[in-house]
Amino acid sequence: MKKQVDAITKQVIADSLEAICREMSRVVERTSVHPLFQELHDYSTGIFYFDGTEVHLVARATALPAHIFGSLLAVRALVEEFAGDINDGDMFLLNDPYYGGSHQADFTMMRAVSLDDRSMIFPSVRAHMSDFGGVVPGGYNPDARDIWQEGYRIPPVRLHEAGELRSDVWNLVLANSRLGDTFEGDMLAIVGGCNVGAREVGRLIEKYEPQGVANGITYILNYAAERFRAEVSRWPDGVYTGERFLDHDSAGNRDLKVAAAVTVDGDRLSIDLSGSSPQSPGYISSVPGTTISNAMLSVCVVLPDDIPPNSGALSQIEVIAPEGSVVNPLAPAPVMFSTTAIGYEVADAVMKAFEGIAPERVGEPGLGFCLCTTFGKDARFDDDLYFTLDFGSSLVSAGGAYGTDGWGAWPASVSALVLANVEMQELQYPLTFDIYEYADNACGAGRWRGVPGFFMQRSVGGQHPAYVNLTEEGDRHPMPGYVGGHAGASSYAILRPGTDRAERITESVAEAELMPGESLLTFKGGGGGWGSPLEREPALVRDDVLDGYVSVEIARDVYGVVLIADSDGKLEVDGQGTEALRSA
Amino acid sequence: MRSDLPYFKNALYTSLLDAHRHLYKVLQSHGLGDRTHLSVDVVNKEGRVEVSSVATELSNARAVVASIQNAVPPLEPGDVVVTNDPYSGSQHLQDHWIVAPVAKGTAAGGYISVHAHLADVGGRNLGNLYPGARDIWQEGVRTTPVRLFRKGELDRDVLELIKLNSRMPLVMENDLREMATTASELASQVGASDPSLLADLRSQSKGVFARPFDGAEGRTTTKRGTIHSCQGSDATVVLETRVENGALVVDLTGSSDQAEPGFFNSTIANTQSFLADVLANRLSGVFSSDVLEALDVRAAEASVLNCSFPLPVGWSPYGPRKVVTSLFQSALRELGIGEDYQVFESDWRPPVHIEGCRETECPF
Repeated sequence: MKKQVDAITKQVIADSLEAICREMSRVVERTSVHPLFQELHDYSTGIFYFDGTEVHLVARATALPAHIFGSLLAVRALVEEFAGDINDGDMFLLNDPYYGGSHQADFTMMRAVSLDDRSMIFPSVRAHMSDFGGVVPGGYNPDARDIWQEGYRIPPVRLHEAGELRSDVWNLVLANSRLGDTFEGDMLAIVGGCNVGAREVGRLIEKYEPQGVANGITYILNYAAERFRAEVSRWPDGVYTGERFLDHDSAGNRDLKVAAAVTVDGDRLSIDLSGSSPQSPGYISSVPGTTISNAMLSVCVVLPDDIPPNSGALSQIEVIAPEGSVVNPLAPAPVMFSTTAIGYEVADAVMKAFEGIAPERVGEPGLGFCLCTTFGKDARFDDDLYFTLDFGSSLVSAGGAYGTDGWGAWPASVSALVLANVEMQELQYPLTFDIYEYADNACGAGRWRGVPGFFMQRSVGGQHPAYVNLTEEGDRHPMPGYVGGHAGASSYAILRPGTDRAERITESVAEAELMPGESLLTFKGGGGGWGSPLEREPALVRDDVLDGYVSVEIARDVYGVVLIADSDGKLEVDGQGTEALRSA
Repeated sequence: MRSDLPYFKNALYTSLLDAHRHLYKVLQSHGLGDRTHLSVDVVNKEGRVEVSSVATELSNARAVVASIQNAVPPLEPGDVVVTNDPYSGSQHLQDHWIVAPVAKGTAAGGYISVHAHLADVGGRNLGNLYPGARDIWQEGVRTTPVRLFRKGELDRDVLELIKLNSRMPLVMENDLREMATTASELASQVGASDPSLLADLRSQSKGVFARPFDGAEGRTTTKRGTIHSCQGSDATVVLETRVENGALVVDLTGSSDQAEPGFFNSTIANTQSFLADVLANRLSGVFSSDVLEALDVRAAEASVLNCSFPLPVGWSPYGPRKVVTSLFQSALRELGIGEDYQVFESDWRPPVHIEGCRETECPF
């Protein structure tokens, strides 16, 4: 006889699964090693449920959308590859984009917990690993023209059999990273996270019995599905379109388009990306895991906050991504940069379409990612190799949203990340930060403005050269504004600024050598604005001028706000002048 | 291959040659055209190479088996291990070694190892030769010793892992399966063989290497050569050969430091194999560890002929091998050790396109 579980207990079970994810997160972030993982938190945890037919995302904690929604495809790939041969205590690993991964940097580990003879639960961790072989440390290779030039590919492989480590397979994976001990520490952190998840899921099963847990899962999936359908049914039926362009693919191709057609039909929602550009030779084409994740990202931003972002809701959305396009490339296209570019362009295009559906919910979901990775030898640590993925070159990007200016941090897509502070980075790497600050006059204007652009200048210390892989996006297509808001400023970088070897980069450079004392300057254009700048509160414009974000001239010419100095020399809004200018 | 040697009459050796010829015919990757890209060996449980079908990889076979003994749980009948890792004994990443245990018979407790140069293992360039490589990962994927079969059952996920990292996955699968089948069959065959076969080979081998250098006692000769580098300075090879207390000492300590970038670095196992190849053929000996034991090779650590992990080594079996073997041939000829022999291999080299070489006519 099936165990009956009341509604409150079902919710308790669902919340317990969320709590388990959070515990998994604490384990991995406290035991991981590389700063990218340990400090920046570039990882996600989740719990997946295989009901014997389909895989569902049930719960997640620390979660980057590009990770967690895509992980669903990874667990699905695992179940397909090992059909009928998955046992309690087995641990699996994969990173391959064409097996449900996103890019090879993202390793997904999944541990099987048997629920009954048909269904299983998979506590899972996906984390961005520091190095996994390939042509350049860290894997971001702007010159890559196939996926093997990016790094080690791992299809679903069994790392543990019924809890016992396959040491030869483990060593094989470790052998394909340049950062031996660091990499192993990070792998062990992921294993620990999955093991803790499995232990706690086991306790939950013990307490509520398998059928009780299954009922709890079904309950939360159904609840999310019903809430989702109810919300969508309130939206006006129709086909809404949006598009967004990526500057380039690092292989000489420019203005790559992502076109989204969002169809609302009663309580059904579909997203068709069929008008997007053909796949490109450069490392930007986005596999389904990335494409779907970024499309879902925008949907989640638009939905009410209290709808659980699980498979109950997400399975209601149909995403169409034609094969052979930048949003669903055929193997062996390189994809390393695609989690952000062209991934965020997918999110942007979908969000643009939502302008016609829920304008007060839209805003910039992406990052307009400008990539900077650096590697070299650190004389302070026996000439050990170091590698850093420098998010300072992508700070900060949040656009304005209804009711709020772009905030001084990252947007929704990466809001789970924690910015590593400059002092720690200077300790960890032989690099010194000379400039790390907002730029003047670089906000996307709007009723609510975007965050200002950001300068980073960083020089090489120590005794060895540093090698920089750099891909700049957002020179030709900066961060967009929404609902009449203006775009942010264009991004660029300069190698060796202020010297006779200065080189301005608006696209890509691979393994640029910077000698000790030489520096790199990046300028990241800020987020776009929301709404017309002529509707911005004049007092807020004045504050922006006083903060140095905009000039008096921009206040007048873009915002239509006239500022005058009072008798003490303080700037005040000229109300009449402003009204006259705005109504002209 | 020569057929006028007494050990050609040994049934065990004949089995190895049959396996070698079979693989030469069926391996789809094996398009590189000479004997050095393939070997079949019997290795005993202590890691001693009892006999090989060729002499080009003797030290590598020994190193591969030692790595497997260290890295993989004890092998059981039906297990098959694969590796291509130069820092686990392989000459370069293209060379895949398949090792199967021998359960009984003349080589009981030992192993059959088979190696062949396979098509592609990812990395920057198709074929895995990249002159600008600074480390091994730029050349391709390392497959450290891992079981491909356990108790006769294929570990499909391991095979998929290897295939996925090759631009020619179907060729890779075909060849690994052929090599595994050959090694397993040979292991069974050797397991059922007459226990005296190996003893006969050992006896012949010991005879050849009893005191082969007596006539050159106290003599020394030094040869110099150059390994071309497209990306930096050429590497110098200084090969001093002397007979000291009946032992043949090859001193390479005057050679250049290891190079970075430089895909022409060699591991010490490679260097030992190059030298052993020459000595074994000049003495017409059994291709076994006896050749290695007759050599006292000295090379400074972190030098071009004894490079450190994780430097690239992709070109090692070509340019460096050619320089080392020709210098050693010349040295042994001068010392009157052994006889010149005909090498039945082409002078063909794989196509390596190198942009920006400082020489207008790049020797590559």
